[in-house]
Amino acid sequence: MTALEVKDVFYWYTEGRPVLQGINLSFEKGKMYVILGPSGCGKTTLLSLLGGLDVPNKGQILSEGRELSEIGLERYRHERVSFVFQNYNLIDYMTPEENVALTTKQEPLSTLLQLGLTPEEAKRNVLKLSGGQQQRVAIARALASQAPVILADEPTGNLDRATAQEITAILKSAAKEYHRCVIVVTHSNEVAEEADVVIRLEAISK
Amino acid sequence: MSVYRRAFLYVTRKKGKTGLLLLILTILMTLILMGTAINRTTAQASARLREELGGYFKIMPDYRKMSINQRVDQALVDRVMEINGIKAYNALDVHYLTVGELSLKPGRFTMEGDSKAQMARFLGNTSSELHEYFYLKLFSLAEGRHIEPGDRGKALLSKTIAEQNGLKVGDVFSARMTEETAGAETPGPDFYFDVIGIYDEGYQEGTNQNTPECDITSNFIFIDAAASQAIKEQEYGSNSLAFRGGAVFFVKDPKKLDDIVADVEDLEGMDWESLRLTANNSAYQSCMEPLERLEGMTSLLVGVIVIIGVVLLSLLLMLWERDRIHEAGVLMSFGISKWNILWQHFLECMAVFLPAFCLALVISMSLSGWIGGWLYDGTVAREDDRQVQEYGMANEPISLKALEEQPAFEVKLSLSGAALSGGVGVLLIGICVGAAFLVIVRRKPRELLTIME
Repeated sequence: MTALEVKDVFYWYTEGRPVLQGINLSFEKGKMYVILGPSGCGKTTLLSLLGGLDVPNKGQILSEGRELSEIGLERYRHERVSFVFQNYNLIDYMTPEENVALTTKQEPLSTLLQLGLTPEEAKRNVLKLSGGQQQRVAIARALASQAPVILADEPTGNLDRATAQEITAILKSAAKEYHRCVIVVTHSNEVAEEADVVIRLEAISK
Repeated sequence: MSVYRRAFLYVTRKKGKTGLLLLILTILMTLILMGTAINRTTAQASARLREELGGYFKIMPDYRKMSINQRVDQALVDRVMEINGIKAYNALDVHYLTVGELSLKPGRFTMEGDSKAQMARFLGNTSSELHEYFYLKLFSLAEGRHIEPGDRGKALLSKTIAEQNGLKVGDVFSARMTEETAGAETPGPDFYFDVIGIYDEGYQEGTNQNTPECDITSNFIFIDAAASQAIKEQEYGSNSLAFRGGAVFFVKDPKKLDDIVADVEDLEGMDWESLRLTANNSAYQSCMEPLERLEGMTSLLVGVIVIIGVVLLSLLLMLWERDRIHEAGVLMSFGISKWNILWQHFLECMAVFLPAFCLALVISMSLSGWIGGWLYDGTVAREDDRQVQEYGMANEPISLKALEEQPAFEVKLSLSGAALSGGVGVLLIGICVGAAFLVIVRRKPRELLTIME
């Protein structure tokens, strides 16, 4: 079933100078999508629209057949989508366990252990973890939310190559094993190689 | 995770910020609590003084005029008493009678061997409690009771005279009009008085060897209005009910004295050519001015503290809120509403405010008495040497000083004062948190995430 659908979406910051123009896309659960493109082509803007952080100037975005405005953006973000950011964006006064508990009422430790953190690390302050560990916590937080769609914005941008490969593998397993729709915005061809579908955005000529 | 858990984690993990906020709120609340305590104590003292030192006005025949067509009688008193805001009156008469069987405190006439040495001053009253000596606490009742409306043949003696003559409450003594006292050629009949009370005449104004016996305060005898009337009938041979000394009316609130006096002056049938009205709330004015100044000062102080507090706290919270744009953006990306985040920030401040308020309560309870006393000494007690030139209530031969006794002023933090200060504190935090949160509330979630990136 289509998890997310983009229909003829336009977005502009200044009228007459669109960033996104007539975008039509469809995303399914169980697949990992990668959106590639040059800087300024609107990758992150598209991700924000898919995540309900902003609304298109024209066109529709549907979640399982329902328009986001109909569901309500807050409810949509709470129930149907979760984010993984380049800078991890963990709450700095919480432990990994508590960060994961932000998105779920279930016991958060098991998700963290599945992603390779030790019980001791799960109770440490997040700022005392390495970059790779922090990104694992961010992915665990997204997975624990039970949202069908995971949106990742440059998730490997701040990581070394080996760690980036591990994170990519985790995201792929999120799509395959957890049957989520994973949409990754990246510049990395290595990540793109692991994707089921690669979407290339072109910058609109001014 | 609930909003309460998030707030708890923030307060317990961000120890530096929590400590600084605790310090600021403790200082702020201590100042507000102390200011409120002093302000309310001052207001209460003012209210008590308004009751205790109530103003009064006197209506008496204008003896400066050649002919007097209207006198102060019971009918006039009753009409005045119908005006709202008057709580009591005291009708006055003064008589000089010889008390042959009593030994008075000696003065000039004793030294000169004059028979007037046995002449005492009899002060006719409707209610002796309202006579200026008692009203201004110059005399105090030591035994028995005061003269009240309806009494007949009752008297109050000074402790000196009672002890000197072995009189006690319930005893009877007599007095009569003589040539010395009223120019009567033949002595009048004896007037008998039951001693119903004995007063302590702590106040002795300018008494010396040359003071006539009848002017020595220990020799003053307070009698009731009926006895006074009987003496007048004997003295003038008429059945006049007029009060020769006029009547003094006491108002409930001295602040309204001028309005009440205006109402009295507007009464129909009053012949102001024959009557004289004098108003006096100088005791009230004298005591109230410094108290009102202190009350105004503390009100201003609390206001300034609150304004400075709001500005300081808002600036601090705004500074901290900028660091939390990141956090707010992340929470909103999980579908947590702005209002839920605002509630979290308010709860965090409240979690610090509560212990700060308790600390401030302890500190202010121990400091407010000292600070209040210091302010009081600096503003109110400085007025100690004030003089009230003329009370003019009973036309007695005295020049009264204002009450030497300062109104009781003990600063205590009341429950309602603490609750009011707590309420102000909560409101202050609400305003500051709301103002600081504007930096977040006016932005879309995406903008917050862009800022943090």
